[in-house]
Amino acid sequence: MATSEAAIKVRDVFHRFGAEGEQRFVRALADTSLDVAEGELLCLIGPSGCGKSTLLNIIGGLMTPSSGDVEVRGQPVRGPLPRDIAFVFQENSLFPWNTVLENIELGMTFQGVSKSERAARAAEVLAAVGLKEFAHHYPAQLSGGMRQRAALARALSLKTPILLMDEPFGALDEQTRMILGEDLSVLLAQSRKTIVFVTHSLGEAVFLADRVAVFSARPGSIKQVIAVDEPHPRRPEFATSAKFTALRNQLYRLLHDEIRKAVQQSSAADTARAGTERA
Amino acid sequence: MAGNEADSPVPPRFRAKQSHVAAPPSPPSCAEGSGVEVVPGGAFEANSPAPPAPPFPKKKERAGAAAPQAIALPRKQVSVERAASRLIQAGFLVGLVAVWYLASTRWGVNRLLLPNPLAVYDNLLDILRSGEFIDDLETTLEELAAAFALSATGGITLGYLISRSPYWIAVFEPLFAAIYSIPIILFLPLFVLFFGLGPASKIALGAAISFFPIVINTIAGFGHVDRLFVMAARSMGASDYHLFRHVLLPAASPVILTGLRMGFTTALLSIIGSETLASLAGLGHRIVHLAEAMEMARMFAYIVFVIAIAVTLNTIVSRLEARGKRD
Repeated sequence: MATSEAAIKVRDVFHRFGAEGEQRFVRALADTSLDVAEGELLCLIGPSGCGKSTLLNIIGGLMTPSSGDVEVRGQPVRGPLPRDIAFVFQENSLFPWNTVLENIELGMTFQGVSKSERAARAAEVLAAVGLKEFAHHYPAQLSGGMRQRAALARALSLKTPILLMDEPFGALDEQTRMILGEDLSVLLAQSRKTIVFVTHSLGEAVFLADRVAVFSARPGSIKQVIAVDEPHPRRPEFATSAKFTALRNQLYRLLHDEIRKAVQQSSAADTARAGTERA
Repeated sequence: MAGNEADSPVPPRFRAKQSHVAAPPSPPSCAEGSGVEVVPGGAFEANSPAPPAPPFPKKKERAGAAAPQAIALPRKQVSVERAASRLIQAGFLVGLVAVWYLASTRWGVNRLLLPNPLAVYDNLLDILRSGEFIDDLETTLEELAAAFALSATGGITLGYLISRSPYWIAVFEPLFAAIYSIPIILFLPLFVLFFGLGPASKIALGAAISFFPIVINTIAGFGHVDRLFVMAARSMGASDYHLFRHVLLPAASPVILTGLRMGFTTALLSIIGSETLASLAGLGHRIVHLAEAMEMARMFAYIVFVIAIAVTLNTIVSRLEARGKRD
């Protein structure tokens, strides 16, 4: 997979929240290195709180790592890179005071796209995600799945070569999530964007990714990277194939111990917190 | 973050285990039982899940799709309910006046305590016709305008500055909330000593009292904007100006508008109140003056007049607030 040049390079990234000794002190990431090839879809999967989202925010320049380097398309990351990277967040990142169309146009306004170009691109992405008829609706009038389509449309309208998606379907029900996953595979096969996709669903990771990076429990680092050698767009039949099941089971075995650890960590943290509160 | 993710490791593990046991044709979690053919190009249209409820205008009628449509009850029912509640409200007021009339005519309440409503009505007409109220009204409204201008500018500016830092929010929010809960009008004598009996002391008091709801709401509005909105805007390349104009301001303005309305109301109350206690002019002053002269019917007429002014002003301000929130 590393045949083409890496679009994203992550080198020895460490990240902690708070200072040592503080109650909120957390080692989120430890010694994480990763390459994402141009045009590749990489899934990050791991137990809750392992730092997947933190890594995504660091790649996107929304957070500065405690130490380590990140390069995007050859440039060191110092802050948001709106021309290279667009985000799709977990949920409700659409501005509720704007309609779907206004939300989509606003991102382009921030980047100084001309008015006629904004309208043209907005129409194009709305059609691509199937929300043409809902352009003048407010986010609150849409279902969760439609809101995430709108958020995806907003990200696509920015025409960035890289898309970072932070559990974009995490809050949706299984069926909606499955359909959106299929549609996403089709849409992205056409665009050939470089994508990093955070998820905690094993099936979603195998179905969407070219490679899946499995995280260890906190402090998170990449335990193993698994290649899913299957062309895009993925067909629904892929999800019922033996290959799919084998990969999913492999992921499950890799993750199982880490999830146990993460659960123990969080219950230990709860006990510790309860202890200090009593004291 | 840790909180909302705390229980999520369980579902994937559970699902995975099932498929483990049930071996080959295990239902994969991502594309469970899907027989849907994905057609490249038509991507999303082909198999988009139906929206939860279809009160949304479809295709051609979408035009000016406005928020209220989606949740509107049948129109007739709403207007009937509204008319009924208005009727009860009006009935209550009419009843009150009727009791007042009976008390002053039939039940022998002393005329010096409670004048005949008809006499009050005559006096009110006389006041309006003669225009003698104009000077006092002008004084009171000028005081109100000056006080509100001061507290609105000061409260919004200071509130915005404080809201920029979580540390300053933690310092000032509880402090202002505490001060807001004490009756500042107790300091009226102090205000009079500093600013004299004229309008200046009313302006200062009105501004001081109305400052607190405004500053508290401004801090709340600007200080608690969802971090995700800010991150989303930044990731799309929003400048500081863009962030303020397109994210912070629309997120905060409903809360700030409420603060302004509350500030306006408290300014009006405290200015008229303080005029009745220590002043040289103004509507409150006039009312106390008439009370001391035992001209009860005329005093009541002025009270009615002030109530009408207050209701009018508050209605205007509430309308402006509602309109501001809609835009």
